Amino acid sequence: MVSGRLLRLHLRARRAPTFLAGVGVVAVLAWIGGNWLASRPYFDGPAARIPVVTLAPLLGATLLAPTLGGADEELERGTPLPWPRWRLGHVLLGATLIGGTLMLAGLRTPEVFGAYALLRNTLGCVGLVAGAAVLLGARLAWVAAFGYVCAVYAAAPRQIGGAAGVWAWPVQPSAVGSSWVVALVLLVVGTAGYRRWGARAGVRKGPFIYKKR
Amino acid sequence: MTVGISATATVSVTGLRVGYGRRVVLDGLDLELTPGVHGLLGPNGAGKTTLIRVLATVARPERGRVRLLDEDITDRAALRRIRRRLGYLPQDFGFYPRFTVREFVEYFAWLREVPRAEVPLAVDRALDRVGLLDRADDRMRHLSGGMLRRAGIAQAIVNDPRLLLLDEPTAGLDPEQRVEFRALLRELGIDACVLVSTHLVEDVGTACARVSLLDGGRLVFTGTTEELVAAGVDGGSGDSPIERGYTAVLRGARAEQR
Repeated sequence: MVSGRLLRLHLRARRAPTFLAGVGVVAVLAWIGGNWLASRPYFDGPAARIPVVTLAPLLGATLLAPTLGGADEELERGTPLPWPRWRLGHVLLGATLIGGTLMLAGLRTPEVFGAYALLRNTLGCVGLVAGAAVLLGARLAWVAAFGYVCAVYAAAPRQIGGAAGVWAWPVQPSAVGSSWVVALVLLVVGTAGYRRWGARAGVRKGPFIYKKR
Repeated sequence: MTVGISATATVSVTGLRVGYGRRVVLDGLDLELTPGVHGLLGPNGAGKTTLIRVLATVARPERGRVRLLDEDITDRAALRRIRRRLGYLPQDFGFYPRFTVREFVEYFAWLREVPRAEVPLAVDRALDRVGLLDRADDRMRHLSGGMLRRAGIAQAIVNDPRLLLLDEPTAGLDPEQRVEFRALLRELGIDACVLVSTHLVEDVGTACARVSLLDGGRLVFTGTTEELVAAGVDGGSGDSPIERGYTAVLRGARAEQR
């Protein structure tokens, strides 16, 4: 049984309060932004929700990225705690919190705000971030998701389903099955890799690392 | 020389090989350590940190056998038992700026699975031993370099380790703190196996009973401090007997390789 005290210290060590506050802010912005965009005359229907549906989960996953690594991965890894289990729980809890909060913002009228697409994009972005943490370390884990989603958003494909359902999964309507498959594959692969290897310890520098002179 | 796996050795390494990519850092290393304070000397790049990282179970050996506390590190259940009895302080360590010193040490007490009821006492004891009890409620980011180092030592000893690995622990300590630290080392070495890597040979001379010397990824000397001093009686350069021993052994090892 995990002690509550250990859990509290661990959450603080991983800067969970910042993450939670950030997710709250993103959800509020998504709600306000969604309302505003839906009432604009120059967007025709579903197109209005794309900025919110792509950017809000991306920001949520970006906030999760720094929590994926400790201040000293090496010190933590030499401890007996069953880390793979903790890492798995960490990613799944993070994805649930982001997805749940954003869906709350969008569920009021899901067809207007794209609540299901918000969930799908959360799962995909969290998978990308978790996978990138293994390769790049927690500090840079946001890069892959950010780059990919922004590129897809900028490309703005008009095609629905087909090849676009696969490569442009973040901007597809939630009814496109292939976009869900891609997002879920990303989540499973990224989470499995992170569970197995954890965030890359990487270069030891930055404001949180004590450097010898 | 035959290398036997003795039952009393805390650390028993045979044929260890470690590399990063193509670069081989340690090759064919055999080492046995018993309880007591052991100094690990060697020039920069000799593989001291790599050896300590392997013994801390954070770097994986390519080849060779590593037994710690009479158990093999490749067995997962054994590894968890070993880690509970292991203390480790890396050369530079990242800390949690918002934690107080007490929280930092307590966090590691939990991570090292110190039994719940013993945690508060273990934390106070560790802080007391490094002389940080009066600064226990200061935030980590407000500590000076020497105090951070002592907080690092406190987290390494909080679980009362049987095997304590310290990578250059005296860096950043002032002379008085180093004297206190050496006294702490001798006290810890009474019933634990303590391995200290350092560049400061005077630390070895006064605190360590035994010395191992690494050069170019190989163990070139292992023996008592007196034996190292004796090696420098004729030849070797340096200002103290132990420094002369150090340089004489290194020179001898390098001449042999050519």
